[in-house]
Formats: sequence, structure tokens, C-alpha cells
Amino acid sequence: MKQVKLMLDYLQGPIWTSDVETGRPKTGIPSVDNDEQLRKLNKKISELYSSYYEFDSHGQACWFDEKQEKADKGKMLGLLGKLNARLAELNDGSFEVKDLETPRVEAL
Amino acid sequence: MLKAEADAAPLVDQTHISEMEKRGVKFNRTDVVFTARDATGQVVWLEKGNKAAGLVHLKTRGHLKQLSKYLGVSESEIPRTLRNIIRDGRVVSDRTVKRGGGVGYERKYEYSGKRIILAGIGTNGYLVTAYPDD
Repeated sequence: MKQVKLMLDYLQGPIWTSDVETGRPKTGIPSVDNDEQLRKLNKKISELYSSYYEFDSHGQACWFDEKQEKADKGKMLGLLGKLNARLAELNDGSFEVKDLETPRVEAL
Repeated sequence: MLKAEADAAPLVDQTHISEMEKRGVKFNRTDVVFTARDATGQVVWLEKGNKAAGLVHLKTRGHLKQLSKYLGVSESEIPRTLRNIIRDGRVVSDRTVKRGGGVGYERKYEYSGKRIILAGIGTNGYLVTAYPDD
């Protein structure tokens, strides 16, 4: 069975992997990769997560705003919830979702 | 320089360090794992970092393990292999991506005709992340 992994990284995710400019998933599963609602949600989440990265900031080459990420915890969980719900709607039983992000964000 | 010599060259090139210092890049010299000038002309470097970026991030996110399997080298050899790919690889794509108030680069490197690695790089050349494009 195919797997859709949810994982966030700088410029990438949460649907692993996606086009970093458009947010279009690149899972190889047509119903997932071609869904506009999913693409928009995916891009929104990626933009929120990557906005925590700053360069040459706070005396560091790369600084991650942990405080803001914690402040946005509810917002991020809401978005991930919508993403998971849409994936569930699209799932015809041909794939499973491995969500590495919701537990990580819940633990913040 | 022969390929074997180039591959064995010190991971941190002091001329790159001097260049970064001149540019006013904020970095911790003792935390730099490797430096490399890629085909775009930018000096890219990996630091030990933390769970959000750098070598520690590669480890905690599972990228080190993925890269090790994909490249067929041990996890301890990943820094040197990544350095060689970034330094000697062909840049297949180089995209400037807007995120929040800033921008970053997603760069794809091809090496030895088949190895393709995606990297998230900051505007200052800091290598945030790297993973196979599979």
C-alpha cells in the first residue's frame, strides 16, 4: 500500500515531498497530487512553518523561532487537522497516512 | 587535483571561512562541519546546528539515515559525501522560494550521473537540510 508521509522541513512538506513553490504534492498518487484544496492547505502549512527560520539573525547563521512556533501551536494543529481530514476524504483505501507532524506539534 | 585528492580534502576550506567572515555572515567557526562552493558560486556550509537545522537536524529528522541508504555510505561519511556532491555536483535546479518575510533556496544537485539531492539553503549559504529526491 502506498504511503503519504506528513513531515515538515525548511521549505518542504508537510506532504512529503511537494513542489516548494506551488505546494503541489509529489506523492505519485493522482487523487492526492491533483487536489486543489490539499495543495492550498499544504502550501499554507509550509509557509507558516518556514516563516520560523531566519538567517543572520539573533547572532546566529540560522535561527529558528521556537517561541512563535509554540504560540502558533493551535493554528498549526488546526491546519494539520484539515489536511488530514481532506486526505481521509480522498482516500479510497489505496494509501495510508503516516503523520509525523501532529504528535510533534502537540508535544510543543 | 585528482578526484581522490579532492574527495580527501579537508572538510572546512579556510578560504571559504575568510570569505564568510568578510561578508559578515554570523556563524560559529568551531561548529562548521564542512564548506563547499557549489556550481552557482555560492559558498554553502553545514554546521552542527540543532533539531531545526544542520547536522543534528539531519540526524533527528531521519535524513541522515535516508541519505546513507540512498548514497550507499555510512552515516559518518555523509558530511564528506554531501560536501563532495555540493562542490562537484551539477545544479539541476535552483529555485528561490519566498517564505514569510524572507527567501531561501531549494537546490537540486546531480552527482555521478545519478545521485540527486535536494537541499534547503538560506540566503547566507547555511545548509538547513538535505534529503534524497526520490
